[in-house]
Amino acid sequence: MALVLARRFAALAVTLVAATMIIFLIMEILPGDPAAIILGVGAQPDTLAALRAELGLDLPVGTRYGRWVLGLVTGDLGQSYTYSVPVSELIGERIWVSLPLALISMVLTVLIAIPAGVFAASRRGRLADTGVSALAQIGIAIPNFWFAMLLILVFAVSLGWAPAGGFAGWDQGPGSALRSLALPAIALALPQAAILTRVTRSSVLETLGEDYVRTARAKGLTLNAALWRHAVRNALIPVVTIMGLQFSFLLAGTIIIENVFYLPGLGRLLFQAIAQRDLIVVKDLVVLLAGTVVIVNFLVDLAYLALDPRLRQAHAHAL
Amino acid sequence: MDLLSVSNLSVGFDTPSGQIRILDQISFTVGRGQSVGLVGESGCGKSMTALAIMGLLPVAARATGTIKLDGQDLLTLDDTAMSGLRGRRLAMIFQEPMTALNPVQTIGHQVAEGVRWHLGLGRRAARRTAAELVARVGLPAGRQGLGRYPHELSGGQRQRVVIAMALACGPDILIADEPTTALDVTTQGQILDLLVQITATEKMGLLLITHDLGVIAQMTDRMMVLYAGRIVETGPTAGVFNAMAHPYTRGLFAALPSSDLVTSGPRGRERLAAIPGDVPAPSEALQFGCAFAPRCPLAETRCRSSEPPQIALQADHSVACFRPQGQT
Ligand SMILES: Nc1ncnc2c1ncn2[C@@H]1O[C@H](COP(=O)(O)OP(=O)(O)O)[C@@H](O)[C@H]1O
Ligand code: SF4
Ligand SMILES: [Mg+2]
Repeated sequence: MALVLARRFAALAVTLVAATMIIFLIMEILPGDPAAIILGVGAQPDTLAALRAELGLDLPVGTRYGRWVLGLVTGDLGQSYTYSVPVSELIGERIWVSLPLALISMVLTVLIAIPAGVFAASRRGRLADTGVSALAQIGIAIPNFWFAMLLILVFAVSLGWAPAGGFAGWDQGPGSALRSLALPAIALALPQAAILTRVTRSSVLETLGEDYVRTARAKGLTLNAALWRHAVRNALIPVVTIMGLQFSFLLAGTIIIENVFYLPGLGRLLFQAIAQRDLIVVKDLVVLLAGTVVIVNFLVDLAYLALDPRLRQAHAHAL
Repeated sequence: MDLLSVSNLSVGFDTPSGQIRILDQISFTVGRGQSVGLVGESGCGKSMTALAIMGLLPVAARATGTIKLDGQDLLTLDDTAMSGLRGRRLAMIFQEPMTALNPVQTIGHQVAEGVRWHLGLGRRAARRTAAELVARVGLPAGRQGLGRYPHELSGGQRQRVVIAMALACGPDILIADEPTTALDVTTQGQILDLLVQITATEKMGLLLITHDLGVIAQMTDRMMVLYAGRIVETGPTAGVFNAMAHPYTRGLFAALPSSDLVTSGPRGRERLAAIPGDVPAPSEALQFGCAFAPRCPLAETRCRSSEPPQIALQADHSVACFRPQGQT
């Protein structure tokens, strides 16, 4: 077990380092000189050179990469070209919008999808199953920004239960902040919940046909008890895999959804930074997103270990 | 009254192309402390017989007839009532120990589950019971032993766990569906010995399903030979082995490795080659006449047109054949 964990940690570290290298290299290759962007067209060559020296752009590639990674580790993410404030400050404010948004969406996704998927599987071929599957089909077909507009129309414009956009901030108390996040979180979650429902349903159907479920029934467990105690936990392994992927989709989804709802989050920041060629912000945000995805994958690996004792053996191969 | 009494049990499947019959009018009884064998090639309906008794047939299957446990017809019970009997009065051991256990739960948990479910024992008491059961089937029962997962056990050890689970609530009837088929030869012997020892001390009724006549000879008091969903020969095991009457029974016997059963062969037995051909698919079989006719060396015209009669030989020994063998 300890060996298995150590191995996963090592893999995590290697992946993180590789991610920073790739991102740094891509940003190097991309055309566009930050100094030129900051000063605009028609800047004097000597002013440009001075700014480049100030930004450290004239240093060798290796040094710049080293400084950047050191900065990432110590929390010094550099200065935004357009906002002229430290990037860490920009991110620090906005992460408290995006992270809760993604987490709430993930929780909603799981809370909807797992019961719905298990329920549909237990009613295979019956009306309830057909109903759930049809809803899931619709959920998958409709993009989240369309859900967002629908939710705004119904719950914000007509019913007035939640704001149509904007973010009240956490200092107003969690109530109003959560109300601002409710509709965006639902809009983000619904398509993912639809996908996860289908994954859960088919995975549970598969485990329901396993011999050990029949053994459980032979012990006297009712169908429902055998379902929840034996089929569901075994069915969760593929479900967790998809959940890990979905968290990345949710992060990416925040870029669109934060724009629809005017939420001051990382997604909007990334969108604006790209539009304004604020390369250092883009670079830091991308590394943050990539890092999150890598860490989520690591957590998924840990979840596998918790779910499946066979994988806790040092010799265990893939699933 | 017999503990378990199955009469005229038929099982069919609803398929898009109509009903197919898997079992046709099966009748037999299992008494307390009695060991009854059901033998036949794969696909002849042995597992379906077991699952019908357990009430665990696939959803598409329809069972008719009666299956009485202490006089109560199980086929009239709903699933909740059957759940109350399964594991407590009726227990089953499956063919594949590799897949019969839940891979993500410890064996202690899985053995304890039955007593917690039926007898409402608490975690502690259930664990103690599990430890006793695991020890009784010859496995280490300490904290370490109970905390192991199925993948840490060999096939024979897993089958012991499955047996411990089946014994948990002291059932009246134990159905063992090819309990040793998936195991190597030495382990087979050990598991069979364990079953003999346990059913004898517990005075359970045992329905032992196998495709191996050698196991039947060694383990059972009575036996039935199943072919394409019908019982073609039945009787006390010793009586049947002394005078195998059905060509299929003789064929099964001839197919045994010759080292087996040197002492218990039928008198004046003429060796048949292993039976040519295969068990017919249920959709093809059971139309007219004797289902074995296409493979039977003795088949005649009447075998293909009308159903062979049930002929009583002696002492409970009967056969369904136009030309029963070994009769003078
Ligand atoms: N779900 C099903 N639908 C239709 N036929 C089935 C189904 N399950 C089993 N059968 C058929 O029932 C017959 C008896 O199967 P089974 O009882 O498992 O045989 P055995 O245990 O003797 O090998 C086989 O011919 C098999 O093809
Ligand atoms: S009835 Fe005829 S075909 Fe069938 S087993 Fe007897 S002899 Fe063979
Ligand atoms: Mg079988």
